[in-house]
Amino acid sequence: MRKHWKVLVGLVLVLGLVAAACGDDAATTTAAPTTTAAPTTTAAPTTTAAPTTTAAPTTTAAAAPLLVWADETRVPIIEAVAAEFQAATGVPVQVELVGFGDIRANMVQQAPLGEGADVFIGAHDWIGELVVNGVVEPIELGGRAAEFFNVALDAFSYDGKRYGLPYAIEAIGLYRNTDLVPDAPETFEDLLAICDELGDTVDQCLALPAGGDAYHHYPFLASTGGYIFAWDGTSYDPADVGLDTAGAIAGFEFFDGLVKDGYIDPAVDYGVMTNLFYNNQAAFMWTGPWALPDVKAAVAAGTLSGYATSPLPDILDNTATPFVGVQGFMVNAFSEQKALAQTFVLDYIATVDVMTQLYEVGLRAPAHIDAFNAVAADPDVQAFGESASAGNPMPNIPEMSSVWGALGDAVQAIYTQSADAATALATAAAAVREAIG
Amino acid sequence: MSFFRRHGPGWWIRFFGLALLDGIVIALIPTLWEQRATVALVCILVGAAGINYIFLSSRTIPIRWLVPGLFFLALMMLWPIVFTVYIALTNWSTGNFITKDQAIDRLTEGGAYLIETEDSPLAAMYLYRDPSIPTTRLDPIADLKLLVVTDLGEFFYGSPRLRTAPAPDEPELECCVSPRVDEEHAARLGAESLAELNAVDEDGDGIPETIGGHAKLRLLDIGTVSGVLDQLVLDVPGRGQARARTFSSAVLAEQRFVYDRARDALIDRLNDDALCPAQGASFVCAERRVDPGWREFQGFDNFTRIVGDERIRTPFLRIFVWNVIFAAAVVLLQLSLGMALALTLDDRRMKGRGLYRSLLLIPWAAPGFIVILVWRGLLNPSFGPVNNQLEARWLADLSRSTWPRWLVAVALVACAAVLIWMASGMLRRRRWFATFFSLVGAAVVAWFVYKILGPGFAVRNVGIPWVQPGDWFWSKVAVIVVTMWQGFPYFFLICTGALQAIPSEMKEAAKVDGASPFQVFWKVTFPLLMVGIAPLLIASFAFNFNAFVNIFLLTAGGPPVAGYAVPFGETDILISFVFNLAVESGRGGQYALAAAATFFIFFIVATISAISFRFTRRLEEIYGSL
Repeated sequence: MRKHWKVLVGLVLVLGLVAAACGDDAATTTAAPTTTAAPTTTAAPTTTAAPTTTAAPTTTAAAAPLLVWADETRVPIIEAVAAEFQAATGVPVQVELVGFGDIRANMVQQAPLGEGADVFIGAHDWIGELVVNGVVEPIELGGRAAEFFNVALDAFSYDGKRYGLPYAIEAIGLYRNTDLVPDAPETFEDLLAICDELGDTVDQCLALPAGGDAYHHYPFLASTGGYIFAWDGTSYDPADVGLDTAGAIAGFEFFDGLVKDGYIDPAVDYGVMTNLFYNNQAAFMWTGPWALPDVKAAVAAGTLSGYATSPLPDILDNTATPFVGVQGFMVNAFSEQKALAQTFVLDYIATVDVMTQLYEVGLRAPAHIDAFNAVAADPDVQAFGESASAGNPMPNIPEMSSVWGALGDAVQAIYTQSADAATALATAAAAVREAIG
Repeated sequence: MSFFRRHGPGWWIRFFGLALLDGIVIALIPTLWEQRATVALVCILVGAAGINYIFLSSRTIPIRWLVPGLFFLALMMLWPIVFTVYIALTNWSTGNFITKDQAIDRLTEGGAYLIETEDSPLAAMYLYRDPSIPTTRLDPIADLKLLVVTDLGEFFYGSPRLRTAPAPDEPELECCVSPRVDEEHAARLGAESLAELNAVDEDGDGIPETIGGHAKLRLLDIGTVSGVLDQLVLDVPGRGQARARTFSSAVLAEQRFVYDRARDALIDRLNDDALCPAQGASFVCAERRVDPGWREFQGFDNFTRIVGDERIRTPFLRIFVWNVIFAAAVVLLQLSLGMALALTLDDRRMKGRGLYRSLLLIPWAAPGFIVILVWRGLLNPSFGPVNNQLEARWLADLSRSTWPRWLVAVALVACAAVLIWMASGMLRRRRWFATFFSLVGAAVVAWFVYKILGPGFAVRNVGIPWVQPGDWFWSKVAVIVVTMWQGFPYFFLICTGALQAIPSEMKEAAKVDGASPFQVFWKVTFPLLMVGIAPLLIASFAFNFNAFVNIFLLTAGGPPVAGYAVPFGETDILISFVFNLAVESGRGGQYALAAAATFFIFFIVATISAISFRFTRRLEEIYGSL
């Protein structure tokens, strides 16, 4: 009996040690660059001139496929580009569907192990986290930078380097039910006057996704001069937090008034908002171009009698500044085929055709100027484009992770009326400063 | 024939199982060998050999029964625990994800740390190869040449090196290093020098098709060099290195950092060769951290940080108390509801019991992620059906009644007190017990009535604020009720089973002795049920103590609590608090800190469970002999 125990314990120990060793092995061997092609041997071949073997027409043979991660909306387009790329270079491209929200964490965790995609799509506000983890490679656009909107390029910059090829710009705007409101309100006063006039004919005049959602409420903070981190033209300063500046407080007091006067219902979350608007029960909807496909579907289904979009109304006589989000293609810094990946991105994705196709599936304003001009006749592109041109890119530094919760709580405090604007923002600013340290 | 007779089905199952395992292992060998995963290969081979030995040798029969269990124990229990411990002892967090070697490689070879001069670092690049060598035998270094053409029209041509190879002290190019001159001059000079190398420019675009017998590589041939393209470096005297950026362009710049292994520091060439020593898992230049840092073993730093950090310590007690109340309330309510339903459906006179029983399992069987989101919609204060019903039928009637509000409130509380007193009074000879319960019950009802009819509610006029954004009281009620609803079928099932195991003679004996039905329940059925169920109550408590999904999806911890340095909400429990702390920290995710914090939660749950188990053991000693 004793002997069996010894065998058993020994076995478990050995397995455990071996398993631990395996873990290390996976981490180190795959990550080390394959310096296989040492130029030591094979000096002879110069003499054996004539390629006696069939010498296949110099395609692939050794080329490993390029791996691209994209979300379900964009996979079909990238697959078409991939086929073109393979025809031109002989290098196969494998396009894998990964949920947009999962790409970031997967890259951070898998790229250092040599398992991430060579090329992946993502949002500009991931850049900070990806850069400090060493996961993303700069993309040198050279003279081609002029093909893109500056705001998109800035959004993808971190410490003066560009890390992504932008394809879409998005910012929230104002949808209106054209049956109820034929003309877009220029200012918030106009909007409130329309709401007063409509009165009880709609369930909710201004449907805005209430709740601890810092993103949709940022215009109330920033239009009047508030900011999150100070921007000096090339980078953000996490030591300068502007959540409790006078401008921010003025904007939040205005927002507080809207809640107090019942113009915004704290119970309307995103799902309720879209439901109301799609069923003619709301006059205005406060959100971004991602809702366009569903809005169009609601019009087609007849539940929504008609819609139009416009930039957000002026807040206290200031042009509303929403958050601007930019989406783009990035290259894995741990890829063993970075040059190939950049060739794919710069020479095959960054074309007017592909950029226009990407617009057509996502309906977000293209970041590529020529592609934007090609679709600029679309009134939605115009409206959201105008909104974005007045906005600020979401800060892309990793310190931003401490802001979402704190600012969201400040918004919630206004909705629950548990604090006034100044107190709510002071609490949020203190929390952010405390977290950054 | 005797062979088949000698071996029963067990032998054949074993034989085919082992054959399958060995087949898979053998199939894995070439792949692993190619990837040079020698350690993985060895451990798989050793493991497979061990399993083969155990299942073939006649001396190891007892272990055979343990092997599958041990295997899955190691895979699903030990491995996650070991991994969590390991992470908790490191500094794994945003900015410290990769190994030190990887970080040094990023810093000294990565494109993010190039010193860029005023003229664009981007240059055109062309690859040339010796066409006489078949693709299959092409040596990417010896047989390749690089031609770099800058915006100024300068030509640089020569043999590249691998970036891992040491840079030559005095790099030599085959062509065209010239002092900075005007564009026209540079181009002419370049063309002349290239002509000396027998360059042939057939199409006249200024870029030769062949240079000294080397032919320009076509795009279609990129596959032959794709593996080494990233590794190629052409040293250009005085201008840094040219590195391939795409197939047709290169970056001509110097790398900002050089790693000094002896001093374990970076040399910052941008700032007068300043020394950036390695400090605390990253290099530090002029007191500024250089990203990326690396992950390293830290010992118990994370644990001491949790104990010492004001931000975590101050809200901890408050969250802990609510966490215990939440878990305890949920378990008690789940048990009460489950047991009541089990008792009701245990009555043989009831028809369609099977149908009811199956229907009652739905909350438990339905996927929590969906159900909780549905509940979130149901409980929406303005648009949810719950409030709509309450308002339409109940609250509206109350508010429309001509009675004064205080009278309504007093009447409600009095009714509740009497009802509860009567119910508890069914237990004879326990008057103090009934009185106590009716007082507690009346207080609870009074509180609810106050919350509904009280001043705050009338002002808000938006219905009961369960969620979105919620009120501290009603959000807590909502979270408890939804979690109860989700888990009561578990206790319903357990009680149904346990009730059937209680011999009916005992109940009959009690009845013969003149006990009322309530006495039979409280004195006979309930204690016997508890013997079996008490340990499950503790398990359920531990489970609900960490009911992260319910909190996260229903209220996301909200509504926020004001006045603390760390954002947290009224309904946040420890695990959701730790989650927020890990994700919404000052700078990205703090995974190691979160892993360490889970240990504290584990010890809290383990302590509470250990104490409770002592009580249940006593319960068993008292009633187990019945």
